[in-house]
Amino acid sequence: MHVDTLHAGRPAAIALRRSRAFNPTLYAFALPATLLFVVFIAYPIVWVAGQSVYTKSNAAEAIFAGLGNYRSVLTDPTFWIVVRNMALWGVITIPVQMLVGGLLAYFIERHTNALRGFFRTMFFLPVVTSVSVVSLVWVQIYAPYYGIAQEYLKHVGIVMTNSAIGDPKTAIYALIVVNIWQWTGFSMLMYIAGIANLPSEVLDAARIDGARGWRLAVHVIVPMLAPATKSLLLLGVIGTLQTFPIVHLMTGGGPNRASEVFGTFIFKQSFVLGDTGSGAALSVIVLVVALVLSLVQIALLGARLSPAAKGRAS
Amino acid sequence: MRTLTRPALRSFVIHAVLFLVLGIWMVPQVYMISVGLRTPAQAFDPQLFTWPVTFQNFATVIRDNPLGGIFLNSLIVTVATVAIVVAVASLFAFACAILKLKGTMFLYATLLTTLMVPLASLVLPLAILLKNFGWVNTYIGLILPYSALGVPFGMVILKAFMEDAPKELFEAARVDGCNAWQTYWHVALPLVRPALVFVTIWQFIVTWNEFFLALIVLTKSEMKTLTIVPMQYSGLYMANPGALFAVLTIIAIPLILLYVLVQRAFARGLLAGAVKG
Amino acid sequence: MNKKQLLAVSAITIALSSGSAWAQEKEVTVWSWFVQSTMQKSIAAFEKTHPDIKVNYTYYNYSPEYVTALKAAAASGSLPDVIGLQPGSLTQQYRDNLEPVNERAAKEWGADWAEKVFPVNRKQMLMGNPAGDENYYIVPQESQVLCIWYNRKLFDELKIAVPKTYEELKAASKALTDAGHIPMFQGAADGWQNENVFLMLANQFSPGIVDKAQAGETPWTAPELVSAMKAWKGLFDDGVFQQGALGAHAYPTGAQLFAQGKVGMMALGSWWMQESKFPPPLSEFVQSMDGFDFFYMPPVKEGNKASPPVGGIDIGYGLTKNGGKNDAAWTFLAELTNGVGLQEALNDLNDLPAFAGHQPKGDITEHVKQLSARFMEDLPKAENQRFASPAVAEALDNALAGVAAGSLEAEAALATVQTATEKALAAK
Repeated sequence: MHVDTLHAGRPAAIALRRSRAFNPTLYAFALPATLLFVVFIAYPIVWVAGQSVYTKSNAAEAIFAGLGNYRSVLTDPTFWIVVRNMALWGVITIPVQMLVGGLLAYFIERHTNALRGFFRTMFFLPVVTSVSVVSLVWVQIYAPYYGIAQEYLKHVGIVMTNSAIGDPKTAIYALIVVNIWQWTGFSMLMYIAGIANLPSEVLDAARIDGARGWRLAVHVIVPMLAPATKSLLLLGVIGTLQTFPIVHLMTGGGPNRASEVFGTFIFKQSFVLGDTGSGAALSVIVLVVALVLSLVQIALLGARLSPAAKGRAS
Repeated sequence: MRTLTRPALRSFVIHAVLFLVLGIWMVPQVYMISVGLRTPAQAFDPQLFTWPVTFQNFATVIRDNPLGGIFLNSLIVTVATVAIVVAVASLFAFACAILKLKGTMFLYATLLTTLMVPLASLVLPLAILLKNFGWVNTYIGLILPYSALGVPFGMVILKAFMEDAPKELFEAARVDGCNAWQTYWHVALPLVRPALVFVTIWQFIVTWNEFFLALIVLTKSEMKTLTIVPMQYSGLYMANPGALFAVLTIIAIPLILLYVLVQRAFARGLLAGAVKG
Repeated sequence: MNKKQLLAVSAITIALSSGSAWAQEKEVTVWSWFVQSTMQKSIAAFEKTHPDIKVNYTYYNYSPEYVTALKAAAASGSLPDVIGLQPGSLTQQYRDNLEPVNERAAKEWGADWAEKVFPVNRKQMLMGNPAGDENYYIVPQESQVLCIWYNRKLFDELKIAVPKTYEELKAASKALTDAGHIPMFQGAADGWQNENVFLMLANQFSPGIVDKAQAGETPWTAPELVSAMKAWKGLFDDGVFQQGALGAHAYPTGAQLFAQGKVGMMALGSWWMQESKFPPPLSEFVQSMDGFDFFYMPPVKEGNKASPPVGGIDIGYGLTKNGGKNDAAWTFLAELTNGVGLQEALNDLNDLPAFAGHQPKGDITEHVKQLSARFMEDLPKAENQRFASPAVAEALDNALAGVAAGSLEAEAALATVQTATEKALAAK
């Protein structure tokens, strides 16, 4: 038993869990978060939703447009390019980051010792690197003729004829590579936290049972990392939809919209073209899509209990 | 007799592979630091290392900007935000995962929507809101919106980790007569310490590097945070990539230092989170 | 104190306190993307002649920072007194927040002040105004003329002459490429440089045709424009632009490489001269603009002449409604665009003036004087480079990128611009 819980001072006036039939004071735990949300997020969301049903020409009056903005956005071919790009982005970056991050976390945590802190730091560096730097450097890497990759590839006889971000067919993939490079450290860190949280006696028990190395990793550790994986998936989907600075700085969504994502599309509509109505409509669409995807995830994945919690009452 | 034992060989191979991957992974970082140390003449030379090395860029950046005061601004805003986010998110996660209060799941999903609205769209209404509160060019004008934006992330992580924690401990606490607060403070928080560390680091980084909102809210130069400083070196016609990379390196250093210090807590978590019979 | 003395003291106190409020420093807030160091010089010059006014300048990168900050401030009613503007779409977006300056300008500079502004600038000041609105919302500060700068030291070294025909241009590009340099650096990932080159080409086939097209008087699919679009593709295919141009940015990479002598030619404008006034160290080419000279796009087809100068307003400033309540704001604006503030910008060779009758002073070499003089001679005849509608500009950007990438044919690309133009004109 934990000593401090034995010596819990005052007798409990509030019993846990069984009497959750209304103890309103407990809601105080949820209050600050809700308050922050209502003031700083709910109001802006409502504002944006409101904006989305008006069109604003350069004259000051806003004309009620009903669903007009939504219709024009959904029939814009660029919208469907964006959807395709976002699907590619999510489908490629999330699993790859999880896999590479997980592998790195596993090997660093369990197979290094003195250098553990060093590796943890170095692989995390790209995450803290400013996006301006990342974009400038990667544009340089991709540049043929005078770029960094070309400089070193010429020693093996490869001559680049184009920049990966300058070709409409490959632009989005080139950006995805940059994204993976930058954010894998985040997945790694999440898994490091997860591994650090693993109760060692479960691992010991499994090892005694004969599970070793590979078997131990796949059948014991991976399932126990479920909370980390679930969080990564949820955050990954949401984060994908939010992508903006890296695309804006590297390709601006081009060439000719080939690498357009929601973030850049909204930016162009609202800030460059001055069409706040359709920018707002896009934002609402993004919000709805994200919400649906998240609810689906929570419903499907939330129901699965992780093995570590097998013994508990629901 | 010195035979290379299997574990030792495996460890060697693993280290070698890690270093190899790291080497390729670090190319952009190395380039970044290298450009910061270059003269403009060589700024965009494709080689990873050039000679000579100059510290002029760092000197320029430090001379051009009152970095001390700006650093303080960033620090105040970031520390306050991190404190609020960790506190508020853990309280909420506790209510949702352990107390399982009615309606918190719904609230959880709602709060999740925070992360889903593109920041570009939030900027305008937030600007209006802050103007109405009179919080433009104040610390609190940044701290509170940052906290509101950061709590959902923390809540996702902490909820997941709290749910995964062995429930026997909470039962034990209840049996011992702990009230909700004591359970939160003495049981829940220590159990998810690695996750707390993670949220702390993450929120620190996000807030430290946040740029868009800082740009809108802080228009007076005395109030500016570090992230605004690089802008002057990447302007349309007047570009000084060496100085840009130098200042961005400077901004990243506190983050790296913090991370190095804090990541050791993950190891300690291994021992602290264990459940003994 | 007797009553009289008390009265006297009170009167003096009141006079002093209201007087002191009156003599208090007035403040003017300015936001722009104008290079900070030069702006500080303009402000210093202004504050010297107006010691009771203090100017507070905030610098922003143009995209995304400035456009975002501006929009957020406009939405919350907290725009500063004076804002930097580009003619056409940016001015129009904020027209509701700006004061018309006609009266103030007339009072400041005389009723015929608009005549002193170069014709192409005057036209651009009104671009996008709704029909019948003759108000000026933007006061231009600087003009620019687009051209093709070349590194004359490299040309001398490789024995290349200034190209007078397309064949010579191709040959020059090949010579540069073979010598390991970049022929003509194009940052085709940025829309603006593509637009500029296209304007040079289009005006070569038919001067002023882009203006007619954006006004709906000529279709974008007119044969001259199609030829210009095909010539645009030719610049990529014929090796004039560097490989991978679509993934490159003009600033900072292109400009850096150009300044350091790794690039033969670059389609920029009169603003390039400001590089010679940057803080050292300067490359041997940028020093006093020693290594640089310019020409206009040579005829790309038999029978064409070289491209005419294209240009207009580089940057202007607007007086916001907030600034309208602040007398000091207009005073600063006037000096910035047509007074001591402008002079500092000219001395830094930031760009050409928008009002006639100014020239750079100070430490200017003969070579730079000649370059300036050539530009100033061409400015009055320059064709318009700006677009009234951002949607049309963007459609053109996409069209140019699509054609350059080979994913769009010239006619189809121009058809999309035509659609955007029709939509924009219908919405007015």
